[in-house]
Amino acid sequence: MKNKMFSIILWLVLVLTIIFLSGPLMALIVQGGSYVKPALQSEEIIFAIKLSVKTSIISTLICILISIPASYAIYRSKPKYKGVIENIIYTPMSLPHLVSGIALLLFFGNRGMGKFLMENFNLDFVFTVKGIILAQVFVNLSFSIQIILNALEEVDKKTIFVSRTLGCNEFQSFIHIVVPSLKRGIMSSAVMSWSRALGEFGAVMMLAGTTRMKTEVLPTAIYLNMATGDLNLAIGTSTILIALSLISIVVFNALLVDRRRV
Amino acid sequence: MLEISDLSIELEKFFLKDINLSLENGEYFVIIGKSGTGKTVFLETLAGRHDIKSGSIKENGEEISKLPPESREIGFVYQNYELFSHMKVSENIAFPLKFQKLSKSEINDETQNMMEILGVTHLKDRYPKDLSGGEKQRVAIGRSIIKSPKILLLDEPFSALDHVTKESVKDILKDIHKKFKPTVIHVTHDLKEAMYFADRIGIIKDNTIKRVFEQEELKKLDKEDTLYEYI
Repeated sequence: MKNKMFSIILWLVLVLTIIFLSGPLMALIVQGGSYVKPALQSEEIIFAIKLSVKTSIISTLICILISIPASYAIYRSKPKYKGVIENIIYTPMSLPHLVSGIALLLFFGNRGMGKFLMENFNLDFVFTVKGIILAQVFVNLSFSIQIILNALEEVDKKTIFVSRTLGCNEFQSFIHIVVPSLKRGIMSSAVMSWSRALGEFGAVMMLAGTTRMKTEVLPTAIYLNMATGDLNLAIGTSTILIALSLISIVVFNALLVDRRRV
Repeated sequence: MLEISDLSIELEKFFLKDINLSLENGEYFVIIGKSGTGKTVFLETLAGRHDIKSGSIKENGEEISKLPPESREIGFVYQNYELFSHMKVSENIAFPLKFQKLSKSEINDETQNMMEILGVTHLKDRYPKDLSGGEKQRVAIGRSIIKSPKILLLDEPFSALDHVTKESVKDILKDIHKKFKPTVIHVTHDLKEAMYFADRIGIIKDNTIKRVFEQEELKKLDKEDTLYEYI
């Protein structure tokens, strides 16, 4: 195949991919633009936006706080255990979110662990805002760990060892050398976790339910308004959700530009 | 004094055995050997990266083989520097002082002194990515020595440098050894470099330190090429 023809094919595939991925979103934005204002005047949608932003920020922070030490533990583990640990941790990534929701409901419901947490720590996840956060963490934690672990694999173990010879104990080495080296991985993980948490529906619906003005996040609001036939409000809300995701991606990508490293 | 007795190390796919070595305080000992003979593993074990299988490592009579790296008073310089990319030159050099009970002004003064010795004061606000190989190696040496460790381990410190840069960093290293007097174990495969620095030279071969050339023996060697026969 001649070079020119090969280039044309590559470009053609790329253009079709872009059309396929952005076309439906553009259609929604174009058609939904006029419904954004009425949606923003709705008390219900404002509640859903606030709850979505609040829960997604909290769940993202939880994901990051757990995935940094968890990834580091995997990074340090012996190769023979590493594969087993990764298989266990990455399993939720392949589950349909509805299945994740059912699993969460069984584990954190009124029996077993859920009963223990309720009785001892007054933590109730079923049909509550805490349940939304828990579901968002569950569906995002594996991805977050994977991203940070990938970033960790690029950190030279010799650099960490040198820091030990310079006087750091393991914790100081983790704080002063490992965590700053993961800056880009942490940011990427945060972008991914936050945007996925904003759009999470299946697991949230199973665990926290779809109670209007109580456990109503943006995807729940879209579902409720579609179910009650208020298509305009559903389209307007969808457009808001897309806008929030776009803004988050643009902001975080800007933050990812690190001029100090090449 | 550093005393290594009957030291054996066993890693997944490599081992060293029956290493016996005794170094006087302030001695400059060079180890030469072919690639893959375990020179780096030996240094890393002394510094605490790998557990020993048997034997002992004593620093002035104290067993250190069970101590964590931060408690061994050993500085380590790798051939590819291992500078902390998120820290400026001055921060890299000052890093070991952060974990000692020193005031901020004491840390600044010591860092400033070290940068002057190394001739890198003008680079203090640069990040490692903006340094040449020679500059990086000077910073790495300064960082490893600023806390005045009793032992300094150098793993092929000049192998990534061009000839001209190598000569200037060699002089700096010699000056630093004179000034701080650490016991040095320097690993290289460059015989000329070995002869330039060494009080004694050890040959690593067949998974052990096969032979040690004393100072008198080194003086008798007419040229460094003679050592090739032993590697």
